[in-house]
Amino acid sequence: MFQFSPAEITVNAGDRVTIELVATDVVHGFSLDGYDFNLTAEPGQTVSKTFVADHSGSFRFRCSVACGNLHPFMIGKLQVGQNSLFLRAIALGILAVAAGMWTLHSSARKASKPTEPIGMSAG
Amino acid sequence: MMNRVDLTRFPTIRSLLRSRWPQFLIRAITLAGFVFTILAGLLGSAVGSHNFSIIFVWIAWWTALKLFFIPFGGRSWCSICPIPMPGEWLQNGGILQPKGKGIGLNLRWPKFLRGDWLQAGGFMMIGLFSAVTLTSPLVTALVLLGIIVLSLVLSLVFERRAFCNYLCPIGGFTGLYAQAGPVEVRVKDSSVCAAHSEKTCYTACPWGQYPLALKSSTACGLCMECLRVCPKDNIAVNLRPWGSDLGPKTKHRLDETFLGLVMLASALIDSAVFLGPWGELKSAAYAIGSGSWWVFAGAFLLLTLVILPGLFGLAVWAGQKLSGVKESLGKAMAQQGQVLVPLGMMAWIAFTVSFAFTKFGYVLPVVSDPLGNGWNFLGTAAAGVGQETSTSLFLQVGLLALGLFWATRVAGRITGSKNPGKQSAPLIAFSALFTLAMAWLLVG
Repeated sequence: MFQFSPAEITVNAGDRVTIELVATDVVHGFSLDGYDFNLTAEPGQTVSKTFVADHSGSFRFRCSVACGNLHPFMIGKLQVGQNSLFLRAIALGILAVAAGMWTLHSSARKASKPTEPIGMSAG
Repeated sequence: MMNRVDLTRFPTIRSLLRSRWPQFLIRAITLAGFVFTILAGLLGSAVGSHNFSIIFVWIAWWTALKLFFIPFGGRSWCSICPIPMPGEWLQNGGILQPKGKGIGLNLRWPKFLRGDWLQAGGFMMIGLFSAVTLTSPLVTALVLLGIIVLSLVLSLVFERRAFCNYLCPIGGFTGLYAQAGPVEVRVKDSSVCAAHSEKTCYTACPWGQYPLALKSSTACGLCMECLRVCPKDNIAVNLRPWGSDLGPKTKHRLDETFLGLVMLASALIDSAVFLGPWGELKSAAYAIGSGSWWVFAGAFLLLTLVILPGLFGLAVWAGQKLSGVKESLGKAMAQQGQVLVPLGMMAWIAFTVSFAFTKFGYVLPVVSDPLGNGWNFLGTAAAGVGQETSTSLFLQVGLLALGLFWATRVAGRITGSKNPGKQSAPLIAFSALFTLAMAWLLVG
């Protein structure tokens, strides 16, 4: 009832994508993050609209018409080409670990200067 | 201390904190809001997205707690929380301050029930039933009503804030992450306290804390009673660097680690259920008592009680083996559980950014139409569907990376071995794995 089927759609960047929205129970909507794209379908009705998937990445689509208790969480995912943000997140994570270790190493080096006791900084 | 700013040095702030009136007035407003929320849940629309109780509790307040109160004020929400108010009035025999003999048995909380275990269990219960609690106004109202009644009953049986200290799941959440927060109550000069035999601060503290012994902000609810009653003007309210309670010198317990792991598991599960595209998972989480819900509950408990604690225990054990440190695994897990604090806090903030960006559009409509009756008091009743923008997505990635950076630093500082690199490496790998899972759920 509160789910899209299919919930995950994968297309290539630059594809012309036609969404056919069929509401099987109550009125539902379809709003796509990152794109100016909205559809509303009455129960049993099929509506469709086409757009060009010209932004790469992973985008959520959501029901845009209050359809019941789980409505705010009725979500699907459109993957357009490669999700570079996720790859950048992985790279940033590696950098975060490296930066964390580097700052620890520098504070340990400062703390181990001859005038101070050997050990890690407590600060 | 050099890296602290004592806010009580500023006369205006000092008078605001010492007077009971400002806090009382804010708490009176939050109590009125709490009562209205219960009434809206009981009497208003059954559709969650059109009811004040759901939108204000689970979107506005829950967001404010994680994006504002905890990161900038530690347990500051606890200082204005309305839940313990009625019980405290009875205990104190007065509304603004203790007057004469109050009502209640004043028993001590049983020793075997102390610690964070019950709060962790309470948070797990919230997670298990969250798809219904977060979407059904009636259930939210009943939960809030149950909480305030339980708090009242416990305050009539036990001394001080028994509910806040040992049962409140939100108190567990805020207490855990308050260790990373930038606010603390501490004594100015410990020798002054040592020479003062009356301990008026301890007697007055509704949390049962003795400020001289405070080494962590976990259990201090920032109520400011110690500041008000100290005859020696020896209490400081400090602004401090973030994460000041985390380090090799602070003592930590295994129940804190368990609470930290429950929070990590809940962040993962809530991200999957509420932000993910898996409709069947949402339906299973919602259909309490059905076969699919039991499968969901089993997976939830498996992740929370077996997989995450198992992986964390394995990381701690591997660190000990690699570095040659000989310490009981339980003790090491308790101490190294500090890594879970920045990791979990930043994960919850990232989750909330995603949640708030897309759901905040529901707030203004329920201000105009709190019961979902079709009213439009302020002309803002038309609900708009929110979208995740590229800013919100980048922000989530940045927050998760910051959490991993912070966790890496904490892991390196707390191990205390001669080979901190070797001992902390598995902990850092655990943190990286968790961060990767969160990143996949939020922006994958």
